[in-house]
Amino acid sequence: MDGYEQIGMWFVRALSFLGVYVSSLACMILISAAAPGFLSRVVSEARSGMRRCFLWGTVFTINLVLLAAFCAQLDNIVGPVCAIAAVVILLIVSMGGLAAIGCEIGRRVLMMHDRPTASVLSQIVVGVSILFVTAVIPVLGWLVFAGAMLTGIGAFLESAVADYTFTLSPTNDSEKAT
Amino acid sequence: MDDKNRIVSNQSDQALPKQADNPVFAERILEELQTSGDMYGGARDRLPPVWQILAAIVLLIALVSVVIALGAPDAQWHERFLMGFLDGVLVFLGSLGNGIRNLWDVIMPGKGYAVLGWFTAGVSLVNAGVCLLSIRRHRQGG
Repeated sequence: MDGYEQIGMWFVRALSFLGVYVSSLACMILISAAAPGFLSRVVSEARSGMRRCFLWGTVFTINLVLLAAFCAQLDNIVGPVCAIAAVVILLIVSMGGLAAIGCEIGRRVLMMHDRPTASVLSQIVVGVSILFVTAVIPVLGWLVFAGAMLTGIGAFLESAVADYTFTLSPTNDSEKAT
Repeated sequence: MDDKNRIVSNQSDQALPKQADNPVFAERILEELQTSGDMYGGARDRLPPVWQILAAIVLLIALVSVVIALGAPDAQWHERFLMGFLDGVLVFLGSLGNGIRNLWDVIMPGKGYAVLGWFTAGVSLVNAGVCLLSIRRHRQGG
């Protein structure tokens, strides 16, 4: 492989990374626009119990990846279909979680820049950009990115549980009735 | 106005001008809203009911099944486009599953697939346990 081909390969890799970054950012902005209150609850869950969220995010991710790998090994059509469904669910949850973590990181970074009242959009753009740029650092970068994503996944799940727990709670239902 | 709302309202009226920039004050208000359940009041900001999520998953599985079933070599461009994405995911999952299976085959010859299944079931149980703990903590208002 000569020099030009190597440069071309690096260019293609950089473009692919840029594509993943832009599409992920668009998805996260969409999520935050669709459910701003839910996003703020995910952020507060991540802030209040980071280790707990990280633990659950790790277990959940390993569980879905193993489940998808197990299903993909099945010979009939049900296995691959369930495997793809598991991966799509993991992708949606991880996008929501990463948006929340990006929002929190962006908020703190903008506070350092004397912008405590920045909009959620700027917080997400700044936070997610920092995470994606950090991910490029060799060896360490992906660990930071994966840590943030796993914490976000756990926080998303905690908020989902809170939603359904409050839905089922008799006191909350009686308050609604009155 | 009930007592709880009056307390929050009084605290807000008195303390807001002095402590509006204090993050501890904001955290306390958020905590009160969270504890009382008022934070979860807006239907728009809640996750949809479980049956809708399950229905969406079933719909997704049905659509994926249709796309996979349509995947013939002489398919139309849009079908091939979808198949390309799904193929990529399936190839990744297949190689991942094969890798884990081969790893267990080296450790326990001939039992790689069974061990993968048991391992998956074990992690699923741990995941369910963590979920139950979370439900318990939220019910207790922790």
